[in-house]
Amino acid sequence: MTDHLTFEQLCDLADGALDAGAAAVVRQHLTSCDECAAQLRALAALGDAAASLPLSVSPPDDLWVDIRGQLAPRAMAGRGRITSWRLPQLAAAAVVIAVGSSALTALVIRGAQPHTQTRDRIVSSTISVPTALPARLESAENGYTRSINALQLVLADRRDSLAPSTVATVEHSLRIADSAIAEARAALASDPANAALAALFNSNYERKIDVLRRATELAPRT
Amino acid sequence: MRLHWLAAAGTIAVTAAIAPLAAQQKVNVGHLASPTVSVRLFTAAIGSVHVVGWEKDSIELTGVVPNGSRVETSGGPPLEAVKGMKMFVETPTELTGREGQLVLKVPRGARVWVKTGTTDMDVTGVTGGLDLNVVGGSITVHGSSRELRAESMDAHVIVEGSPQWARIKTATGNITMRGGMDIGASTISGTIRSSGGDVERAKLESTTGGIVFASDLARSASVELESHSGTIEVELLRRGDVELDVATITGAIENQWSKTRPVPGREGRGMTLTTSWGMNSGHITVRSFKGQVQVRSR
Repeated sequence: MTDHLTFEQLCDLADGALDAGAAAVVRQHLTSCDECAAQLRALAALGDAAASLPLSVSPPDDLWVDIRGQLAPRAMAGRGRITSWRLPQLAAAAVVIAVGSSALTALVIRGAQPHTQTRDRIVSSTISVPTALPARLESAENGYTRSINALQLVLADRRDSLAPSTVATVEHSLRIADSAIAEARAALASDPANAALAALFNSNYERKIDVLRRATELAPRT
Repeated sequence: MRLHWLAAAGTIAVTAAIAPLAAQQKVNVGHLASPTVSVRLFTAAIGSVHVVGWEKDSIELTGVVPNGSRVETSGGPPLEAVKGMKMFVETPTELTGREGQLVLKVPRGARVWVKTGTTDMDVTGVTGGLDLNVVGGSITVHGSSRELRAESMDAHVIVEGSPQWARIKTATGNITMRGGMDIGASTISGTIRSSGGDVERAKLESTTGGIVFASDLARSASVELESHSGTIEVELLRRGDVELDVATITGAIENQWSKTRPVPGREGRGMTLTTSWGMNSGHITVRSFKGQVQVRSR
């Protein structure tokens, strides 16, 4: 079939803006045109997703505190001790902004997921082999990964200044987080429409990033 | 007492005298301060830090630190009440630092920021803001501050009051609290327990640590409990006015609060439970990947 419905017709139908007669004609076409029907479903899903977005998106609670933490040392530039802290702190500030950005992205993506909560085809074992994720989650994961990589660089620079027990605690926590992420990721690959699972997946990443962030901010010899 | 402080301020507010018999030096720092002064204390690992909110219009830092420690402060002019003050204590080594003890007294409405290594920190009577950051040891907060932020790696955090706003984060440390108007607690493998007190808005989350929620719900309360593999226990009043929405990916749900039975997931994996009582003015959402969820009466 080549005589497809226009985008406007589909939008109006999805929005309920067509009168009864026009709607009947459009619906008749949809019964015999898979392409238009698929486009209508996509539009409807987009509408549902948009409706579920938060009215406002607040930045993460930590963002301002961390930015403020970077501003204070700048005001005291020239004092020996503070100067010695500036580079890592500035790096941490950049990372904090990256983390905040990732968190906001994840928040929006999470809000855009359909409300259907299917819990089928669960995989509970830890799988380390990367598996495909839905595009929205893959995008979120890329953002998380960038933040994690940046934080790990900062942490690697500071590792020698931390107490061995602290390093052990951090590494232990990161291993736990990685294991949880892998499990959630594997489950999502089998059940990509599961909104609750997607939320758990994001939360695991956010807690991992939070541990990394705090580790980069610890005082020397702790 | 005011004369005492003027005298102290006249000597640039800082005194560090070496104790004659022990390998420690005394710390005695003081300054006039506004009622809502912002105080920052930074120390490396130290045995204990005790923060006290008092009725006086001054700040006082006292205690003992190992010999060779450096104590620095920056405030305002000696005879003026400062709006902000920074204090820095550096000990020669982490090991010797653990022998130190500090007591920081601030006006009740002060905003206090403390960052330290491993320490046992105790806060009493501060009604302003608290921003506490330790690595190991413990944080205990008595009284209800307006704002509380507490972060640790493996230190346990105990909040015995009900802050208006609280955000508590640990890696492996346990978190214990008595509700609060707006609370958030997050941990990787520590446990989280909120019992007693009222909660208006809360989000408690862990990766492997268990979560226990047994606080009362304020009207229109919203509570989210989330864990990857930790057990989540929800203890509700037998006829609590609440709607409960529980979902797990693979974990089991056990409901002893109402007669509603959990329903298996669509293909037999995971479970869901939706149950309520009363006008549903409060709402609790529970999400777990593979941890068990237990709902019961208290």
